[in-house]
Amino acid sequence: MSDEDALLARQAAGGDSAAFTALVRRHERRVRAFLSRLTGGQGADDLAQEVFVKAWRLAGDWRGQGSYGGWLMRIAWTSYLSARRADARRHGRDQQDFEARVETSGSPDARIDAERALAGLDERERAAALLCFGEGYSHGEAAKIMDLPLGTLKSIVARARVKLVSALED
Amino acid sequence: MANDHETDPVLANLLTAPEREPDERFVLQVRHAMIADQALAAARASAWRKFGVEMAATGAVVLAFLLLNRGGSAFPEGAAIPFYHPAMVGFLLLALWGVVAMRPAAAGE
Repeated sequence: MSDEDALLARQAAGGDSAAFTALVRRHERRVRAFLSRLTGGQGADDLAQEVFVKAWRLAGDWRGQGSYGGWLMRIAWTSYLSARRADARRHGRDQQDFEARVETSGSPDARIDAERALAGLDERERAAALLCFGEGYSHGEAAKIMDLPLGTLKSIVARARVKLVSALED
Repeated sequence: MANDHETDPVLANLLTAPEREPDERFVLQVRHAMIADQALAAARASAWRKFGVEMAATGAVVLAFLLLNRGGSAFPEGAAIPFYHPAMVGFLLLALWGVVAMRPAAAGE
């Protein structure tokens, strides 16, 4: 855990909005990238903003177990699940929507292959792959973020690995 | 298929978010959202407080009229009401409600 994050988080817990803004500055890139790849880009920034507002509201609850970034990612994951459920209730959307968004995104970047490969995973596999491969979290940290038993998380990561490699080899 | 030691660094390379400078526009948006959220929370708390006070005042007035109604008929017209009578408590509650309703903070709302 970054000492500076811990110091800023303690100040934010005491109501210091400038300290919290510094935390937003330090973590927005990872949170937004995570959400953008989970959602396929649609509404990711609004969701990220909601995540940070929630984190500000809950700043006093952070007790320093694990990294601050991991705590934020946990809020991001639960916010994503809530938003997805609400969206599905409203529009009856499903996984295919995400795949369609990725297929039509038209990014010239070579990373489009990875985006397409990610689209072939279900949301838990996608999140686990992004946390463990993309963000470098350990299996234990990712299990905490996604609120899953360690064994389950490891199985999901293994499944995601196989699917990603297979998709990238095609 | 290649083993995990070979594939994981490749996947990490593909899935890692690209490095960049902090997005100050996004940071500013979050700051504005935080301020709006705080203002909303304060307004909500104030509304609940006001609702509580109004409910207590309404309860006091209803109780006051009940007490006055119960005690009023027991006295002949023009007779003084004893100090320790429920009707007196009713008058007292009405007086308290009047003080609360007419205080400057309530009048200014």
